[in-house]
Amino acid sequence: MENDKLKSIWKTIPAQHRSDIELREMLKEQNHPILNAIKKQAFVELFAFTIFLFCYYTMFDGAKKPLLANISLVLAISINVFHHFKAYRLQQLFRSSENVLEDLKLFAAKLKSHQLETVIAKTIFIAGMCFFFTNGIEFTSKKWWTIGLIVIIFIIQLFLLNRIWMNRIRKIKTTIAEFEKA
Amino acid sequence: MSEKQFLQLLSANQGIIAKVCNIYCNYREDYEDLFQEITYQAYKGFPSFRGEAKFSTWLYRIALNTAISSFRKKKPELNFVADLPDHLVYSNDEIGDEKQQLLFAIKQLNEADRAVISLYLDELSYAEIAAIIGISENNIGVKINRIKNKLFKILNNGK
Repeated sequence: MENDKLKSIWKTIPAQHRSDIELREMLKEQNHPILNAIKKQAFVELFAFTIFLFCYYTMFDGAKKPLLANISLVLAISINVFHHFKAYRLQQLFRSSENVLEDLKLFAAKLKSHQLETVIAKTIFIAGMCFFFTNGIEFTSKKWWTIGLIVIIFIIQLFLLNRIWMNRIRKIKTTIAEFEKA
Repeated sequence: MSEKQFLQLLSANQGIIAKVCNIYCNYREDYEDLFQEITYQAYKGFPSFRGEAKFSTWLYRIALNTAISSFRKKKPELNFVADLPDHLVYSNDEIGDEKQQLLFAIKQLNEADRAVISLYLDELSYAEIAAIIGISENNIGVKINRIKNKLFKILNNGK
């Protein structure tokens, strides 16, 4: 195939034409598939955590625990909810500077700091939860094993989550390198 | 500028979004999601469009940036078969063998090369491509030659 032929084939690849009404619908945030999914998850978590915060004081002996344990629990939950909303903002944010390469570099840097924040938020969450629920408990070996199991499950979850972020950042960095390669 | 003006410009240039979606997506579901994501990003960024460049050049930049940085769930299909399943972006019946083969060949390239070759095939000048991507014109020239060779090789079944 020759150069010109490639260009002429490229130009004739059909594209489904969308009406102005269809395009207008796409401008609405509530019709955005990814934003909607993140928003839904953030609101479900916010709702569940709010219910939990209203109930824990009586249901999980919050009243009997020291102030520090209560504060650590509320803080752990709040940081986690806030982090979800930050993830939503990251997706929602318009990201464009002067050119594709610059945009990708900025986005990779934002993802990197979001990855770090995710690890910190999740660690604070599990630490706050453990601190609250183990406070005032007399530890038997069975309870130590249970705590150990929870921590191991959490570390595995954190590792898998971190790997997803790392793969995404690596993919963008690879593309940046491909662009920069002479 | 108003939503109405944006929609007019978008409607006239929507082929750019379709082309970018074509080269970065293998499945209709991904295609639709990316089309919407690009449209949404362009709308969000429209206030920053100062009109110094053509709207089409600006839209190309947004579209490529969004396509490369967005997270697509599904892995690309690597095997080329004569009868393609319905859920792919296009079937052979819809667009014909040659077009399908060109799209298939472009999808074998890495994401950076796909961006450069799509701009080249759309007959943008080297200066315009360099401005959109953010590398020098000389580099663009070298890249285009290399990508074309790769593309011809794929189209000739690696011969």
